[in-house]
Amino acid sequence: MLPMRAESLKGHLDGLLLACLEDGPRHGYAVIEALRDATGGQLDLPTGTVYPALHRLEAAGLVLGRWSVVTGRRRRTYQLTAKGRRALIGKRADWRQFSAVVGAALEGRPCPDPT
Amino acid sequence: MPRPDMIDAYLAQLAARLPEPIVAELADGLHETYEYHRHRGLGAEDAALASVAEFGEPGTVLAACVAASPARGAARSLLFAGPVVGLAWAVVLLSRHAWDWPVALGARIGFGAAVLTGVVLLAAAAFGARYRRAGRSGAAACLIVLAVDMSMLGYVASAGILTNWPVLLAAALSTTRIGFTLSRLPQVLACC
Repeated sequence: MLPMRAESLKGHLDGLLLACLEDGPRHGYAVIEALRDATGGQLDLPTGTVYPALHRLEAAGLVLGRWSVVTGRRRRTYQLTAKGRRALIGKRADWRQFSAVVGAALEGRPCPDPT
Repeated sequence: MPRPDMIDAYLAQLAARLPEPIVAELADGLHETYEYHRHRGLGAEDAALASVAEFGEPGTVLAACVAASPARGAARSLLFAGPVVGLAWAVVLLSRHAWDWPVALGARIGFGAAVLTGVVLLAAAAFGARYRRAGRSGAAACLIVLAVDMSMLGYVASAGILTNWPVLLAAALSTTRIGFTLSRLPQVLACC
């Protein structure tokens, strides 16, 4: 299977990054590795574009970024805020609904009841 | 672990276009990527090559930074809200016969010019491709939006016409926009 391209992620990257931080704080590259592991390496995403996305989530109050010194080098750690945790729950619900509706249309299945 | 020149050159390209805190964050990420490839057993030059390739073209990273910029986000929100607030004030100006208000012609022209300049600057911040320029345009636009809203609120308050619903609605929208703009201004200024 071909790797998925960044454009396919439009609108979903924020949710994926929040999910990667759900289990606790991570350094930037650990977030990228978690994303890679969770998707079986199928996301073809330039890692340099993940940091601006983390920065945007931080500006929105969904993620808290902190500098710390590890083995003599400053490193940035990211963790979910309470607002970020609530946003993740919302994004999961939105995704379930979206994938159910689009899946129904693409595969000719009955559309799930909106209620 | 000393960094190869290739990584420094890559970061220098980003530093020429982005504010220091963002470059520091990207440098940390690139360094981590480099260390990851070193731990995989690659030599210094190969690890630098692999990490720069994995990080993405500088243009791609810059575009992602611009897209995620707080200045762009704030400018787009203000552009979206602008017609709503503008329409509310237009109703006030028409219903209260603003052409009869005792306001000097110069002040009227200055106010109109400020509104137009604000819209142009917001559009530049919302759709521009350069991070710092978008930040400067966004910051200037935020200040103009604040000045425009405060002028209108100050005028209707001093004229004693905060009495009927169109004026109250427009004043409430302007007050909300002032609060939003003030809350975003520090992040927008950090983009300059």
